[in-house]
Amino acid sequence: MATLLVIFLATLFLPVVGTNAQTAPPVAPPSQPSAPSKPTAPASLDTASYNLAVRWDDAANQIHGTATIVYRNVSADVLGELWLKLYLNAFRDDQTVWMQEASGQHRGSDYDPKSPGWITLDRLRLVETGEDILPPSIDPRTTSLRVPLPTARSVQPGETVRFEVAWTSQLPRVFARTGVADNFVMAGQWYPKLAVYDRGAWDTEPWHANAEFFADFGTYTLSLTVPDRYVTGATGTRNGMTTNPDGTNTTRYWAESVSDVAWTAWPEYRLATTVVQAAGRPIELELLAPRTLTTGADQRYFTAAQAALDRLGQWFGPYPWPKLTLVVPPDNAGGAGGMEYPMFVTLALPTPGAFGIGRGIHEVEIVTVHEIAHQWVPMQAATNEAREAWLDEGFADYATTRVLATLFPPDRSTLAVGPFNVGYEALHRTQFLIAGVKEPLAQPSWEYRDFLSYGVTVYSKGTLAFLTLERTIGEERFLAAMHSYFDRWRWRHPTTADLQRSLEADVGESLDWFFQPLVYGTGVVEYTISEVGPAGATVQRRGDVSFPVEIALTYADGRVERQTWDGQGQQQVLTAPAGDLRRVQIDPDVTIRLEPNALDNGREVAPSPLPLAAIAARVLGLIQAALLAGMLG
Amino acid sequence: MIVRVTMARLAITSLRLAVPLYLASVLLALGPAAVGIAGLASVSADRPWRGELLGPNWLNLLMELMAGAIYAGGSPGVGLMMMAGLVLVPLAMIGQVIAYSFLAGGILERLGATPGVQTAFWPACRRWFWRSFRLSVLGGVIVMVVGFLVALVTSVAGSIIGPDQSAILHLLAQAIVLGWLELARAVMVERSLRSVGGALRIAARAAVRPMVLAVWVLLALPPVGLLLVSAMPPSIADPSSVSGLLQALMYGQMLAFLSAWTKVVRLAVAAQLALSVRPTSLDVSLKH
Repeated sequence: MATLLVIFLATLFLPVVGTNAQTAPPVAPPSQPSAPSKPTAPASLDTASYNLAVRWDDAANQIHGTATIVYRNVSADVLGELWLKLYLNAFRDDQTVWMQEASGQHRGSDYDPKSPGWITLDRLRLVETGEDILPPSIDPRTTSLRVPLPTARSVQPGETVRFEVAWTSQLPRVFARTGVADNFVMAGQWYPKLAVYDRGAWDTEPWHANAEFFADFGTYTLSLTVPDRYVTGATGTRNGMTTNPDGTNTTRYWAESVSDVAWTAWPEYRLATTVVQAAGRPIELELLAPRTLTTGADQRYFTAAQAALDRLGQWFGPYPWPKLTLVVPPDNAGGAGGMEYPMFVTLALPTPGAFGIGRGIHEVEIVTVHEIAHQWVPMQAATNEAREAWLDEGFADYATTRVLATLFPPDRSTLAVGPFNVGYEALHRTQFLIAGVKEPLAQPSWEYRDFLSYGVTVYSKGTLAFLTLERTIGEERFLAAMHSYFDRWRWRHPTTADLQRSLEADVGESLDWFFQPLVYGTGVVEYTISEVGPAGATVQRRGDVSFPVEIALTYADGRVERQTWDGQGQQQVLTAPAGDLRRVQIDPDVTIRLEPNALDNGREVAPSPLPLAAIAARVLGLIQAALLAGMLG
Repeated sequence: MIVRVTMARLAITSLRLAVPLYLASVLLALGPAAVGIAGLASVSADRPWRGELLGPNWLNLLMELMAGAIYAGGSPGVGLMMMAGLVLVPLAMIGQVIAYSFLAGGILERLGATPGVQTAFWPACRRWFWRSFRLSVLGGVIVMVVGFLVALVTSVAGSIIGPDQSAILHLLAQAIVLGWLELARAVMVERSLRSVGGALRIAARAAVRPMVLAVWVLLALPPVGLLLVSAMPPSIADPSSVSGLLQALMYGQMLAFLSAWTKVVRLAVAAQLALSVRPTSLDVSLKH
């Protein structure tokens, strides 16, 4: 989910929480280096499949649905119970776990208690026997429901169980990715959904505010009935439409190997389609955008989507589905934007700006690429975002940084308005530094101090961690290793430990030195040049992480010599016997993106005053221009 | 004929009169620039990256610098830079309004003088300062109110007015209001009026003529262009060279002088328009 810009704005108002970074990292779980990755569950595309038939009641803002759910026990355990996720109950009132954690807010939007969301199960029974398995009493605020099975109906390993469910979903006023705004409908996390049973346990966590979703893969069919004035879109390919005599129509959608289905409906949608080539495959793009949005904007979405699908496909394996739906919610439903579902992403409206300025604000591209990056994680490698969000959001923004760098010059991939250029990587650096968070990447979302700490850690620190690892290992080797990771874990549920083992198997070395302090811990990489002169320099390690680092020495004749320091010990003394050293630069290739103070990495022996004089001249001119541009002066 | 002054006379006189306005901007900008650079020098004196602040990547670098200082819990150098940008530059802007209010009277008297007759510049500046300053303050309020009203209109009509049209409306309204204010300033000097409100009323009569409106709109274009060009200085290939320093200096100062000159040209046009406004009984009652 693209909360990045919100986080950025929020960080501007943060009190200074950072201090010099010499704190010791907490103890990290032990790791087994270089063991090849062995998924604990067999590959399965049909663990949880759904046949959904739903009707939208636009007078009550309710969904009335029935479904047949087919669950296959892919574990080695006998399952005597099932767990269902009832996400919409998080919005029932302000006393739910979600609301308590979020203080009734999400991305700057307030929850409207007069427009709650909830889900009630009307029927739940086993198809084979007709037995009613609906628990007799259900806490109306629960988002994670235990459903005991009759003893004789325990699900054996490899066995399949079918059950029917009928339910009603009340959608809230658009809030936290789902809901209605006038006659706009965004249905996300809207139906009773099976929890994941993985590594010997059900995911029984309630829905937390700083968490998204986790599900198994399966085949979905959706029959969506809405009043006939609505234009609809959903996960999957369109599979026919029927006009009903009661003034409604029913559109059927179908999708394979997906972990969720979302849909949207709105009479004011304009539908545009195109087919793009991405990593050698044709993919149909379906854009649902407000009619008021000029058709000229369509190309921005299509270009960004094509670039994302193509580059990510080349780096991490092709996009596996034939279609992707791009949804642009209207202005009054911004809370529905910036969210990912399988084969379906919700995006952001273009930022308005006169004379092409809006075009230079790349929010459309950033959000589009970011949400599409989620089509790899968690839509293919289905990490548990609630437990290890960095694997999902950190990866998505790392991938976004890379894709944006193919669309724009990297130093202006976020903003390119006249002389004002901001890169996406620089934006992450800024957030990382301003927020000053010192929490581990690998920890459950609900354990972060607050939303800001969660957001900056998993998005920005996560991105910078991936970039640091990529640049340390080498781009080509790292991308190849990530490709292998996806090959190993596609349609499964990898963890941080699985990622580490997978990467180690491909790069052929232990990565404990990276994962232990920087992913599981709160270690700090920090180097500086304490002394410099014509005869040599002293490089100091001020952080607690011994990170291998290159040092470039530039001599009077222009020669550049590179040395590598493994970071062991507190300092490294570098000598220039000829007394002709001119400049020292730590990490000359800007590899270590997690180093808080990277600006003290270079020093000149005899610095010229001219650059500062030229800056002074420019600053003087700029201030004069500002003064003389004053309307009344 | 609205503009009777010859181009040659306007050019020579206005260029000369732009000098004090330009020098005022230099003096006022020196303070914040010096403090800001002192701050920058303390954090970057021997850092190889400092020259990059003159290139297209300057904002990314500045963000890293500021964010790094916050992470570290503060930095005296960055603190000075922030003080320069957030406190001293706004103060200098107020100083510029005062300086302009002071100089405008002298400039207008000189521009309105009969050819060949020398008027005393500095006494004229002193004579008109308070009335000119009151006009600037009142003008500030008027500009804000008009800006608010235009914003209201464009937001209400948001579905039919795009961002381009909205921005053009803002610029047009601002150009016309500023032209009206300058005309009032010129009327005040030309008629020796004591009342700022009266000058505004007299100027309003002339300001509503289509030709006059067109003149103000046209005169608003060069300053906008100069501001844009000033804000987008070319990258300096070799910041460690004398030529790099000269390039930065000449570019900024040339544009600053041109900006000052456009203000004088605007006053010159206002002075000529003030002459074309026929005196009425109102003028007599407003005279001191």
